[in-house]
Amino acid sequence: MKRIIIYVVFCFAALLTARSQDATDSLWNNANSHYADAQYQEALDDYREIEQSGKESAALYYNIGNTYYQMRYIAYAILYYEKALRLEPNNQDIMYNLEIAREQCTDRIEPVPTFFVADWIRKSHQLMSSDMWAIVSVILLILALTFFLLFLFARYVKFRKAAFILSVIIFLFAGVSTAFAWQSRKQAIRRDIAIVLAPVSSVKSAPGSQGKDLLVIHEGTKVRVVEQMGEWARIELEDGRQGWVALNEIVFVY
Amino acid sequence: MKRILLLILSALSFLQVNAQGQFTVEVPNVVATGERFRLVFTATDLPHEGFNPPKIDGFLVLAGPTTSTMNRMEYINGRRTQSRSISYTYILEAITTGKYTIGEASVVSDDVTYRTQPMTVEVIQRTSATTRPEQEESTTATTEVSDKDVFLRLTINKRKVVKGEPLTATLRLYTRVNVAGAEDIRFPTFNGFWSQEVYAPQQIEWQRENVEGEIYQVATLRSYVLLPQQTGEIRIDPSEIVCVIQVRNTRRAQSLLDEFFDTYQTVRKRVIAPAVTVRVSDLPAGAPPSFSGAVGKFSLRTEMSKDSIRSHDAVSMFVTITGEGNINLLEVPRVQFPPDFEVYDARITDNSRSAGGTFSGSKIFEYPVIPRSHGEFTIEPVVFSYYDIEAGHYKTLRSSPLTIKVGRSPETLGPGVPFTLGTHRRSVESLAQDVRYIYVAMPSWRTKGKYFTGSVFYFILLSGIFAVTGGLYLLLEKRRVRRSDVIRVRNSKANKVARTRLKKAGMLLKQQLFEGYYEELHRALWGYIADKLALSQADCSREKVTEMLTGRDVDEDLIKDYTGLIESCEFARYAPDPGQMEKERIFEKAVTAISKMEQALK
Repeated sequence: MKRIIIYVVFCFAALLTARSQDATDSLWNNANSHYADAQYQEALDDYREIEQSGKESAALYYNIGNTYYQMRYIAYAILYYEKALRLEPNNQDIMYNLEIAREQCTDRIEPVPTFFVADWIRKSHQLMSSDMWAIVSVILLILALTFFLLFLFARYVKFRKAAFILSVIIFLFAGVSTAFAWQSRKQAIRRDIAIVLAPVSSVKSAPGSQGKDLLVIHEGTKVRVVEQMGEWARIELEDGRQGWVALNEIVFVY
Repeated sequence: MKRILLLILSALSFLQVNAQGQFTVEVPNVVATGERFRLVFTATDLPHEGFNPPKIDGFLVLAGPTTSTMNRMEYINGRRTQSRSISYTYILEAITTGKYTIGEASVVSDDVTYRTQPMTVEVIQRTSATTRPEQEESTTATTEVSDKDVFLRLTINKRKVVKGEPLTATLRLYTRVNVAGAEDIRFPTFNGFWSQEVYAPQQIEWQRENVEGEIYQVATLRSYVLLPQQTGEIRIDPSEIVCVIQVRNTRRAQSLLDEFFDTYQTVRKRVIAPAVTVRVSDLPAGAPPSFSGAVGKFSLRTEMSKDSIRSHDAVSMFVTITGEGNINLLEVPRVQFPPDFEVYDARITDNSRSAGGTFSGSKIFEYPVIPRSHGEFTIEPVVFSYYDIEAGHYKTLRSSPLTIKVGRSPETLGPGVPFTLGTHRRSVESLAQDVRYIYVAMPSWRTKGKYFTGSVFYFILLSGIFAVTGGLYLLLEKRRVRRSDVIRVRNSKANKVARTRLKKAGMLLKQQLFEGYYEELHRALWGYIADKLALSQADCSREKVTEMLTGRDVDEDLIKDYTGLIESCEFARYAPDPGQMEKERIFEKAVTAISKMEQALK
């Protein structure tokens, strides 16, 4: 009896997930055709429904970004392009659209130049998403261990030498890709990047309205939140300037 | 001092002569009872015989028709124009009040009959206040001119309009006294309107009109067509005029002479037309995107100056908008040319006129373009939207798409034309910048916030990999140990086995069983080397053995001797008997070779 109940529950759960998958797919197709007909509000509603169901993909965020862009909500478009880039950091389409959206923002902020080695490392770990790096590292690890076993048990000396060298090299690569996987994951789940959504936001010298206005930033600007205090967040612009803004004027990218 | 207004007697107005012959009638439209007035038919430049008189009812014909002829000749820039007019004049008197129609009169000239329109004359009751400038026996002669005697009015034909809807404003002067002129005229300013004067006479024409039972002389001073540009209650500021009025002196005559000649006094009176407000409502919501403020009723036509041309030749596209409404304020419609067309600014020809309180006519937009590449192109339909006042909603006109064939320009064609490579190459121009299109393919969905890296499955996978590797290691190691044991046993027993076999071979030799003897010898040699080198039966071949022995740095001569021995054993088994001595020598050799090999493979 117990077994039957478990079986039924299992079947029901499988059916449920299958149906929600179908619903997501049809929402996706509906949204795309709305977009094609320039019915952006309807497209947006459908895309957002998918997002609220807890599903995500870079393509979804990219399409939401595009829809917001067409509706002239540039700040929201930037927010969603940033979200999409987190999932696929090396996607050229997302980068291109983000650049176009950024050009329509009021604020132009020159980022502080970073050390070129750090740049390289950042660029290389952005080549793939965290999950892809993890899969690559697992495959490399399997290869490396195989070669190591070959080294241990191969009968001929030449063979063993080659296996040893290969095994060491692949081990190194596996280690690097594991590190990249963790680094990418860290970048993807970081919760300190935010986009300014208020049309105009003043950056103050202290939390609270009595602080002196230091800068005025506009919608679409990307900031890093250094700390939070009540309703206020200490932010840092890409050029290194800092100040406090009201938390309700920014939205985190995650 | 400005003197714009001039009083001209209505009877003299036939002086305005047109070049073409015409037959006109002139009669005041309002008269008072007992008043005498003229009815004049004028035939200008119409040589004719006979005059068919009109039917005159309700009036007393005092005189007429009296015929008068006038010749006119004028030289303008050395050009002589001549006109001759004949007029037939009646003097009529109104008897009773009412509306009476004077029937048509006609003349025949060159077998063509010219008729006048029937005219309606209104006869009203004569009141004491009814005065006329030309009336001799005026009783109300006073130096005071009241507001009722002369006033100015600005009339508009619509009080409620939508933005952009044309309306007419007319400024009229009403008078019962003798207005000799006007000074200091302030015409209305139409703030909030686009205005155009449509009637601004050089000479004032007076007309009689019945205003609340009184006969007034009415002159239209100005007429405007207005197009509201703002919404809300728009006030048209008052306009002013100072009238110069001649009033007969009423003082008692000073001398006998004064009794005969009237003396007049000039009085200046400021008359003000009251302000007028117009309610301008905004156009309803839901304007189509192609709407740019056109209000009225329009039609749209597009055409190309040529249907087929060669590239780099100029061609024009014409967009003609015809209709009525605020046509003169129409903006240039947007035409979407193919991207490789060079488009110049549109030339605008405005053929609209004001008529009947609105603007009508056509406006032609000419777009000069130069196609820069050949092919067949389609110019997208021109979309033009306007607000139809009568229907009360927006209408969108859409022209049919135009196609144009652009042939290759001659310099890229003919064989005789020198053609330089690369001169026609241009860099590809970016026309606009837009975001890239959305992804349509179904993406692989994932649960938000879940990453493979760092997940439980990830760690299980990693530890699984290590566990499997460890297991494999243990397995392989075990096998290796086992195998190496076998090898060691074979190795250590090799000598012993070989000796046993040699001993057996020796016995067989003594028993003269040569076949068995060679076989045993062969087996002893092979078995020994196979055991020593840990070779399986299948792997055994001379080449393999030679190779492996060379690999273990065994003396080459020894290898040759050994393999040679094996070979000779094989041969001897099938060869004829070589004799006892030879057999024993081979035996000896085998024993030495094995012991030497034992030394070498230590």
